Amino acid sequence: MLHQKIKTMISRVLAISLIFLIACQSKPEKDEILRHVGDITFDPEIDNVDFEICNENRIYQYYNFSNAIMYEGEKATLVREIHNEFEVTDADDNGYISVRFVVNCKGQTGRFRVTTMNDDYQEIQLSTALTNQLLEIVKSRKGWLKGESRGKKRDYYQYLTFKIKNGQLIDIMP
Amino acid sequence: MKNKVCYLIVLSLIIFQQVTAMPNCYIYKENEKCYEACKEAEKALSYSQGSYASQRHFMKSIELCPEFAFSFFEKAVPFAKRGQMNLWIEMIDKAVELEPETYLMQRGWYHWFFMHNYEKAIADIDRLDELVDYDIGETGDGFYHLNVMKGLCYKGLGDFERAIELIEGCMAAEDYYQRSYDYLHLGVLYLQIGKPETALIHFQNQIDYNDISEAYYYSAMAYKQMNDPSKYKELLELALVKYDNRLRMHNPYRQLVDQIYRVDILEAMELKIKKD
Repeated sequence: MLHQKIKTMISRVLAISLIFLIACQSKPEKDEILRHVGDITFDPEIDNVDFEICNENRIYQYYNFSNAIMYEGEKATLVREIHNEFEVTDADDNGYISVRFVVNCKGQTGRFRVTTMNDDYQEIQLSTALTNQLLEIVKSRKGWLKGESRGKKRDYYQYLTFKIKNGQLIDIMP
Repeated sequence: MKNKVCYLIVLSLIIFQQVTAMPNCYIYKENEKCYEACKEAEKALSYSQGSYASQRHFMKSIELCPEFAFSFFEKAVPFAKRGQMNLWIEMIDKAVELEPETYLMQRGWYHWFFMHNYEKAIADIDRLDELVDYDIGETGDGFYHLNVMKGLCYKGLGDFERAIELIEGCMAAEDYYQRSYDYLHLGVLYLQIGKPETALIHFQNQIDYNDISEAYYYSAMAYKQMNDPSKYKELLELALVKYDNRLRMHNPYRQLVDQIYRVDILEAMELKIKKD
């Protein structure tokens, strides 16, 4: 009888341990699925602390919505605004300046990250004046539209890539 | 016909999610590691593209079989879509090194599609053309034959004559089938070399095949070149109606070549042209 009780107790302990083990293994797995290529995490040294993301665990991508650029007056308006503000510098660089950022569920922008590349997409330093100017132009845009899915406003990742030839801004993607 | 075009567009957008077919893992049965790598890639595809779980399975796949090109290619895709070409390039280069016949198209297409890197796109398509003795095929989304895409690269470089030559040559092939915007691009190219009458023929073909606002907008531009303010105004008004009815070029990943926006039509409407 005592032997039977011990066996039952051991079985229960093992079963409970197994449940805990599965639970411990499942949690990171769930977290991992939420992390995606291109995620931009908050960096207190460079990011605006007042910029709020509505749902940190589910930031959409720009292409989850219908247009590559969701901007008041569409991409054409954004391009006109950028060209109106852009001033040619002394730089004669060639390559790409890419700015990735988040548009939050209120249509505000933050968490800007800049990459400068040559035509082979190797990271290189391009003119600081040119790079900073384009970053500031991107930061000052106010027409971004909120993402919307299943009746809710959503945060999303957006990027703008500037093609530079001889220091001139010749193309804006996407 | 228009329904067919609609279906083609929807299908193409679905295909964009996974533009190169997953290899049949059983062809690797003789090589245990590569078979396992293929199964890992299958697992990767079962997760959301670009998620950590998906990336992790691709990494494991590559560790198991470093010559399994598909995993290099697929692992790279979300980086390109999310504006990180600096991280995309190393992986796609590896895929091309391992299987140039399969992945030159993908790399060339992405050079053009995401970066307007015309020279590199042309170089990849030319290399593919030299490598294979069959039709080089189409872009991964099915919107363009690769020779039409190559023509559009030359347009991007300002060589309109070469672009026309390539696109017309491609469309004249006996087994060629029409894609969504071929005639529109051809028409715009004729506008760019100052031949509005020829351009108008192509715009009408575009309207007959796939009725989009852009065909009316550029028809208006043709009439502008021909100094016909009445037709210019009429076509712009039609362009606006079509645009507002959502009959227009569209892509969730980028602005397409020759795509216009509402503000372009409105600005053109404000422009007064005078008849000589």
